[in-house]
Order: sequence, then C-alpha cells, then structure tokens
Amino acid sequence: MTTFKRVSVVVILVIFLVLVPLLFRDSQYVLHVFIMCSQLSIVSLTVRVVFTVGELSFGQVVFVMAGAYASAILSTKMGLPFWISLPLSGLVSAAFATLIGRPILRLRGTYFSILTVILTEVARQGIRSLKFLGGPQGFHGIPRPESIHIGKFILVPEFNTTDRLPYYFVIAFLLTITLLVLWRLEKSPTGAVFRATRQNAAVAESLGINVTRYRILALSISAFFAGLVGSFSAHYITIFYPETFSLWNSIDYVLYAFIGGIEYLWGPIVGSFALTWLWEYLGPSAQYRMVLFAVLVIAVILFFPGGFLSLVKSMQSLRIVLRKVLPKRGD
Amino acid sequence: MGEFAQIVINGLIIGLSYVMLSLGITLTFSIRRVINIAHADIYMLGGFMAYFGSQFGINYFLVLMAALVVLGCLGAVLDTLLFRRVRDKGPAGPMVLSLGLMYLIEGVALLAFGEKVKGVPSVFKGVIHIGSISFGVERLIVMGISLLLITGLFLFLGRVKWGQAMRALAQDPEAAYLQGIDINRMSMLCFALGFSLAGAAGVLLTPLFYVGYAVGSTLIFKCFMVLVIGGLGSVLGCLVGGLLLGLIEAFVVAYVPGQLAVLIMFALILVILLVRPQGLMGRGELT
Amino acid sequence: MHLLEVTGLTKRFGGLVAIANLDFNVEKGVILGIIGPNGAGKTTLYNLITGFIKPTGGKVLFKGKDITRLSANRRASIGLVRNFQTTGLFNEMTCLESMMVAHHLSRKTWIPAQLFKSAGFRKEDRRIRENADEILSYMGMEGLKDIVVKNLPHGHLRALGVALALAANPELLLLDEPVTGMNETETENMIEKIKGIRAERGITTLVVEHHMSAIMGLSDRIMVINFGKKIADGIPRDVVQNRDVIEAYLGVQKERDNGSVSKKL
Repeated sequence: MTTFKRVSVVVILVIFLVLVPLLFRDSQYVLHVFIMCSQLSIVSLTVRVVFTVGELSFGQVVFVMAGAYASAILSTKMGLPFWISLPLSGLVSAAFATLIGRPILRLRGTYFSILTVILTEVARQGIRSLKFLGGPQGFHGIPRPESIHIGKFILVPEFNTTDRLPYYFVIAFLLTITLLVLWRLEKSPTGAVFRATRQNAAVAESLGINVTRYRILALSISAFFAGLVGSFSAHYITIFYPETFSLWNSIDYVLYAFIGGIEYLWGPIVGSFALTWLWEYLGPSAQYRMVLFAVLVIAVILFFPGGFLSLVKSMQSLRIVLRKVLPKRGD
Repeated sequence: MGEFAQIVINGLIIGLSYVMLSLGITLTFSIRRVINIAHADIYMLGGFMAYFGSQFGINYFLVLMAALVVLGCLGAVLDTLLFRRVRDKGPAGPMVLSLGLMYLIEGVALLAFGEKVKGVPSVFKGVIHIGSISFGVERLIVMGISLLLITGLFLFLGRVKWGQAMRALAQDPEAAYLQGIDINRMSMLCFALGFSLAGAAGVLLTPLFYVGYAVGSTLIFKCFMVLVIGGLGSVLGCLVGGLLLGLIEAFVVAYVPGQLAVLIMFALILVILLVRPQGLMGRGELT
Repeated sequence: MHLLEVTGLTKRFGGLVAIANLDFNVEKGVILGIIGPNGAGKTTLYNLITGFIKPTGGKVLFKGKDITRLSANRRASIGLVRNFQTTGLFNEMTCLESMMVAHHLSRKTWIPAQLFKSAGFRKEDRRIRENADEILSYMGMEGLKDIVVKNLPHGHLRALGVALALAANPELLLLDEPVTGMNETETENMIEKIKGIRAERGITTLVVEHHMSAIMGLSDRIMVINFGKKIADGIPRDVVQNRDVIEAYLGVQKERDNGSVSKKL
C-alpha cells in the first residue's frame, strides 16, 4: 500500500472516530445521518462481496432482516445482552445464507439477480405471516444496548433515548471492522479464489476449486455483516416490522455501491455517504430526489461504469500523464 | 359447479391480464437478454394516457393506438440512446440502467401527475350472464383485445420475417449476425414491441384498476412471478405462466382466507424457485 | 491397474451421438496422443473424463476408483487435471496471481489463518510462491510473472494454461491443443516441455492435437477418434498406416476437393 493510501486511510479514520464525534457530539441530527450512512455503507459493502464472485444481489436486505429478527428474539425472548446477540445475529444470518445459498446460486447472472428480488418479497411476506416472529406488527420495545462496567470503571456508557453518540461509536466501530476484514479478505488467497471464480469459473473448477462452495461462502460472509447491521438497527430504532426491510432499500444498496464504484473497496462507502448527505441537503425538495437519483445512476452506468472512484482514478492517471508530458520548469 | 367455473373464468381473465402485462418484459429478455425493470412503468405511462384520454374525451381505441405507437417509439429511442451503450458488457449494466430508468420515469411521473392514484372510468358498461357465470362487458372487451394482440405477436414471431429474425437473435446472436440480421435494427424493434405491449396493457387494464406514479413498482413483481413460473426467456412460457398464475391466485383467494392466501402464493413461488428455478419452460443458466 | 480406464463411454446430445461406446486405457507414465478430424468428439471426450459434462452411459475409472459421478473439481483434487483450448484464463490477474490461485489444492489454511496471516499461512504461502516461480520458469515465463494475463501473447498464454494445470499437482494431465496457434519455435519448446513433464515429474499425459508432427514426436501411443468412436489405437507408426485412419482424414480431404464444404460439428 502506498504512503498516500496509508495516510489517507488514517486521516479518514481519525475524522470519523475522533473529529466527527468531537465536533458534532451535540448535534443529534448530524450523528443520526452519519449512523445511517455507516449502516448503508456496510450493507453496500456486502453487495460488493457478492459481486466479487460475479453476482449482483438485490436481496441483501433479507440478511439485514434476518439479523434484526434474530437479535430481537435473542434479546426480548431470551434476555441476552446486545453485545452477545450482535455477533450471534451475524452468525444466524450467515447460517441462513448458507442454507439458501445452494439452491439459489444454481442460477447465474440476470436470473440470479431476479431471484434475489423475488426472495426479498417472499421473505417479507413469509415473516408477516409468522406470529412467533411478530407478524405484521413486528417487534417493539427492543432493549437498548446495555452499559458495561467493571466495578466503578465504565467501559461502555448507558445507551438512552436522547444521546446518539454511543450508537455512533458502535456503528463506526462496526464499519471499521467490516472494512478491515473485507480488505484482508480481498488480499487473501480466498479473495483471489473469489476473483478467479468470477473471471473464469471453468478454469477455476479444473484447478480443484469448488466454485459453488465459494459462491455460497461469499454470500454467507456478506450475510454476516448485513446481519450485524440488522442487529444494530434493531437496538437503535427499537421498533421494526416487516415493511421496514423493503426491496427499495435493497436496490439502493446496489445502486449506491455502483455510484461509488463497485470495483473498489471504498466505492460503496463513498457512494453511501455522498448520496445520503445529498438527500439530506435536498431535504425540503424531496420529490426531486427520485429524478436526481435516476439521472445519477444512468449517467454513471453510461459514462463512468466504474463509479465515482474510477473518475478519481482517471484524474490521478491524468495527473501522472500530464506531469510526464508537460515541460518541467527550468527547461 | 357454477362457482367452480366462475373461479376458473375469473382466474383465466386475471391470468390473461398478467400475460398482457408481462409479454413486453419477456420479449426484451428472451431476445436481448435484458431485464427491463422499468417495464411496468411503461405500463404506467400507458395508464396515464388512458386517464388523460378519458379526461379529454378521446376515443378509447384512438388512445390505444396512440399508446402502441408513441410508447413503441419511446422504446426504440431508449434502446438506441441508452441500452445499446451497455450491450455486451455483462448483465449488470442493462439491469442497473433499467433501474435508473424506472426511477426516472417514476420520478417524472411523480412531479407531473402528483402523488394520488387516479381511476379511469369504464368506457364499456354492463354485465353479461351465461348460465350462472357472469362477465363484465368491459373485461370481456379488454380480454378480447388482449387476445388479439397476443395472437398478433405470436403470428409476428412465427410468420413475419422480422419476427423470425428476432427469434433467431434470441436463440443465437452470433449465428444471427452471420446470417446478415441487423442486430441494431432488431434490437430497436424488440424494445419498441416490448414497450408498446406494456403501454397497451396500461391502456387496457388501468380502467379495471387504477394508476399512479408508483404503480410500476408494485406490478413489476407480478411480472417477475409470471416469468418465474412460466420460464425466464420464453414467450410461450409467459403465456402459460400468466394464465397459471391467474388460475392459482383465483383458487387460492377463493378458498383460503386473507393473509394465508398471500403466504401460500409466495410459498408456491419459493418452491418453484428452489425446485425448478428456470420455470416451466425457461432456459435459465443452470450449472 | 491402469491409471485411467474408460469403458463403454457414451454421450448423447438430444438425438446426436457425440461419443459412442468408447473404451480405452491409459497406463501410468504414458503420453497418449488423441487425434481425429474436427468434430470427432475429442473435446467432448475431455469434458467427460474431467467431469465437465456427465455421460449418458459408461464408466470412467481413475486409479481404480469409479469417478463417473464425481464433480470436476473433485477430480482435480485426486490428480486429474486439464487445460482449456479456448476459454481464456484469469484475464485480469497477473501470471503470478493466477499461479497462486492454481495452487488452491495445496493450501491447507482456512480463512482465519489467512486473514490473520498466521505463521503457518506465511510458510505455506512462501512455499507456494516458490513452487509457482519454479513452474513459471520451467515453462519459460520467468520475467512475465507480473504481466496481466490479458496482455500475454498467444504462445505465452498457452504456456500459462499448462503452468496452471501443473500447479494443481496432477497425476494425469489432459492437454487440449497445447501447440495450436504457435509458431515453429514455440511449438518445439512446448513439445520439449511436455516431454519434460513426463520425464521429470512423472506425470501421465493425454494430448489432443491437430499438429501431426508434434503428436508423432510426443506420443508413445496414439488413439484416433472419428464420429465419437475409436477407430485406431496403437503406436504412432502403426496408426499412421492404418487404413481407417487414412480414410477418415482423406475422407475430409475428398469432400473438400469435391467443392462441398463438409460442415463437421
């Protein structure tokens, strides 16, 4: 990793983990928007994970939903603290993905994507009808994360209804972890197998790679992180019902990833943050949002399919080229 | 017996509407491998044409013709301007593009027509009774026109040179190209047809229900369900799938109470997806 | 026990019989050439042996075990590896990256070890990298390891295909047209490499090729296939003089001379 990259990553981390909380600790609104951005970023990143094996999943919201429901049940019906139900929900979601992965990944490409769209609706309708999962009313009164203290020393403060700051730190932490894990994954041999699966599945198969298994693995990894977001979300809004997890959110995850640049690790994050703040900025004129979004999506896919980050990259290359081409001072 | 027959008839009628609704998207998919998620929004545009047609007292059939022509041209234009550029770059491009298109059309519709849904008054009134079975006259006429259009499409694909060229394109694009088929022209034609059918469906079906800027997003599901049941990429499958979906729905709704009915429908889709994901007649890419 | 035993292998595509009741054996250490006119079914045969398509009938035995129902990647894991004639490789990766992926079967570490870069992982990774370098050198591609695959010239691309297959540690290697599209020098080099693969690594090799002198120079035995049937099987000298073989090839020649384009599948 180049020095520039190293420095910029550290800078970004400092901004999010130190500056933002410092500057905005009293602005509940700003904190809330950042929390939304972070949640979106993580799920958009999971879209990217599935894209690494060559599939476009419009159904990530199903895994978010699985995590939310798991966490709600674990805490309301089994009394588990949030800090335990969080990772457990991720695992439940991943297990769910492993279960359905094999049959649904029998389809590829466009067929698979359509399948994920339908799956979202099927899941939502299915959950609606199950009473023990709350039915149409969903869950309410989900407990807030508990504070952790050793004697008088407070490790984790109280989570209450008025201050979003602790929530902010939790989700910022989750985003950092997700980014870290996915980054290492990409550089690892498993990440290389994912890419090989996408670039030439037949050759991969001939080299002993069980392509189906790796596709399912990618799906499960994506489900884990989506499940974490679901769990967090459940304890953040403390109320949800089947309609909270809509297909339109799911589609947004994909589109935000594309606009930011799905081939890049930071793409989904850039897309999510940029667009969320854009919508906030538009605020009162919200009815123009759909058209603006549409224009953005179409422009990106037509003119820079690599997303916003590919634009940045081309400008960087342009700068390098210009530096070489233009006469140096002193000639 | 009468009740059973009524349910079957209702099912077939609804089913035919589903077929009419889904024909366009099946066409673009089977021939160009493009899932046009904005398809149901073209339906919506047709629906609004019907609405304004009735507001200004324009003849029903004139509106239908207009929808076929205008929206057909729109299809050709959008193919040339947009879809052609993302051709052959993998399945993600056209899908994301059509999503963008969906938002665009819905967004513009929201701005232009407002939030409220609109109803279109029926042009043909009355009910016909045959034995113990009753048919709404309007519905009958809609079904009749639908059948005509569907038959027309099948004849076109089967007998007319351009239709056959399109089928060749569906089966093997490279071979079709080598045989001198102009892919650009056929692609435009395909989109034009798909869009006009969607628009026609809009004109025909909207008076029976309603229209609003978001109608597309709700109806696209029905299209997907037809595609899944009948088979992705098969026009005949669309026919079978639509009718089957209508029949199943009619029976389920008749004999099973409320929420359970919805669940059964979705459970059915799930089972089909898991057991035979390519549908009854589809040629899904299974490995 | 033969390394590979194929009995009664049949493959039907709808009404078309691509492979008809094929029987043949391969002993360990042999280089078997497989030839036949275009459309004779050679690639189908490879697909059947390596598990990319399932046969309509018949059996494939590898090292004495029935692998007819085994998946392609499982076959690779027990030592049955192939290269591909046409489908390209991992185009967006560098040669080295591709080779690292090709060593998949040699990896024992799982994701946790990989993510945390445990000592075990680092050792394994280093060993694999060394092996990758060695194979690339052997195939004459030392300087190319950081070149992106899609930028490789044709000759090196084919060499990489063979290199990848070698990385999977095969006992039986199926080469599909390894010298097609190469010039004289490249062809000679490849032939030497293939001989070396058997001599130095003890890998039994099947070679499908159209290049006659390459096949004659390489093979201990040649099997001729036409219309999905075996029409000859023996040492090169005998096969070339076999009447059926001559007719199969001449038959193609005759139809060309008659001015009709014989469109074999």
